[in-house]
Amino acid sequence: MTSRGRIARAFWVLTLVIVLAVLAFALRGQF
Amino acid sequence: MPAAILVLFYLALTCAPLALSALQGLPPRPLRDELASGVALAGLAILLVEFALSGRFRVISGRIGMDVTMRLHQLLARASSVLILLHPFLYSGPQSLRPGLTPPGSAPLNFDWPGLWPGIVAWLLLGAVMVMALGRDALYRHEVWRALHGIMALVMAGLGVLHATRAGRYSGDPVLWGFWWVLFAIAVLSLAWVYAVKPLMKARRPWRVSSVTRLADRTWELCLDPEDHKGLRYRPGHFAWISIGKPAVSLDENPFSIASAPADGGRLRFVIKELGDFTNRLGQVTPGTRAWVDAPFGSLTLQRHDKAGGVALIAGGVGIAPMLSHLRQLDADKDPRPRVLFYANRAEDQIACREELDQRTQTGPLRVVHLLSDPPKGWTGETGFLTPDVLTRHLDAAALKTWVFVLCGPPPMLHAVENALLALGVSPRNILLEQFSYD
Repeated sequence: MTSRGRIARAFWVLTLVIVLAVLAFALRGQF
Repeated sequence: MPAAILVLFYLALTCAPLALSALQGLPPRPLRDELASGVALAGLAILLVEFALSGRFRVISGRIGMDVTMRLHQLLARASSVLILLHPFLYSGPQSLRPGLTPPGSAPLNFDWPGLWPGIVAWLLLGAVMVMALGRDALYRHEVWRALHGIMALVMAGLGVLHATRAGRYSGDPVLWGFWWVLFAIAVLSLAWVYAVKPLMKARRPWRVSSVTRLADRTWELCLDPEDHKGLRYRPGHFAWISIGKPAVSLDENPFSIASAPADGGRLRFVIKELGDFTNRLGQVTPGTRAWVDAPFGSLTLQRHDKAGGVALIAGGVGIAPMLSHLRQLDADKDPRPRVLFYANRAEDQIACREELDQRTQTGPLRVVHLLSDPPKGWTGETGFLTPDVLTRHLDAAALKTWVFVLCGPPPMLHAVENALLALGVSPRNILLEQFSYD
C-alpha cells in the first residue's frame, strides 16, 4: 500500500471510530 | 512517543465530549436530537484538535511525518465540517422542544439569542474557511491564506465553543464546559506559539546570507551563517522554514530542505528552484542580508534505518537538496554502506552539483544514475522516467529487500516511483518520502 493509501486508511479508521462513538451516544437509551 | 499512542490520544480527545455528555445521565431525547448533539460534540472536538495538526509541532509531525500530519489535517477538517454542517439540520424541529412533545425529564434546547448567534456565525465561518482552504492556490498568496486560515479558524472555534457552552444541552455541565475551554485555550496557545513565541525565539538567533550561487538552470544555492550563535542542530533530510530580509515576526517564510550536512559545521546550505514568489527573486539577494530560520522539521531522516544494507536516494529536480545532505553526512561519517543516487531532471542543464556528485562517486561507495526526460544528442545516461526497469538495472534483488529508499521530488514522480518500488517488492517501511504540496 502506498503512503497515500496508508494515510487514507488511517483517516477512515479514525472517522469510523468517531462515527461509531456518535451513533453509540445517540442510540443510548433509545430502545 | 509511538504513533499508535498518538492515535489513541487523538481518539480519546475527540470522543471525550461524547463520553462526558453520556455520563451526565440526562434522559435521552428523540434519536434525531441526540444525533444532532452527537455530531456537534464530535465535530467541534475534531476542529479544536486540528490546531495541533498544523504541522508546526515536532512532537507530532516528527513522529508520524509531515506529509501524514498535513494530509490528516486536511481530511479530518473535512470530516469535522460535514459533522458540524449537518448539526442544525438533524434536530427534529422546534415542535419537539415544546414541553408536551419533549420526553419527560428531558431538558429543552436553549434557543436564546445569546447562545444561538455564536453558533450561526461559526457555522457560516466554517463554510467560508473550507471554501478558502480548497481554493487557496488559485485565490491567494500562500502567506496571506495561511494567516487568514489560522485567524478565521480560531474565531470559528471560539464561537463554536461559546455556542456549545451557552446553548448546548450537555456542554453547560462544568466538566464539559471546562474541557471545551481548555481545548480552546490550547488552540489559542498553539497559534500564539507559531506566530508569537517561535518568532521571538527566532529573533534571538539571527542568520546572515553568506552567498547566493547559481547551480543550474533556475536553481540556486543559498548559504546562511549563524550570527553570534552556534547554529542549528538538525539531521540530514530535515527542512527549515526560512525568511530573508524580513522582520523576525513575518508571515513571509518558505519551507526548504537543508542541503548541507551537520558535519559541515554551522553553515546551512539550501538548493532552491525558482518556482514563483520569493524564489524568483533569490538571485537578487545580496550577501549580508539578515535571515531567520525555524527548524528542523520533517521525517526524511535515516535515524531509524541504521541497519539498512544500503541507501538509495531518489531525487526529482530540486528534490536533490535533502539527498545532498544525506550524501555529505554519509561521506563525512565514512559510512561504508553502498549507495545509489537516482537523479531525474528534464534537461541536462538542470543537473545541480554535478561535479560534486562525480567526485563523490570516485571517493566513496556512491553510484549516480542520471535520468533525463528530454536528453540532448549523445546523452549516454538513462532517459525517460524512473520506471521499474530502470530501478532493476541498477539495484539487485538483495538491495530491493534490504536497502532504505529516500524519495524527494514532484508529487507525480514520487507516487509513480513509490508504486514502482512497491511493485518490485520493497517494504513500505523502507520507503521514506516527503512532498511540499498536497492535493
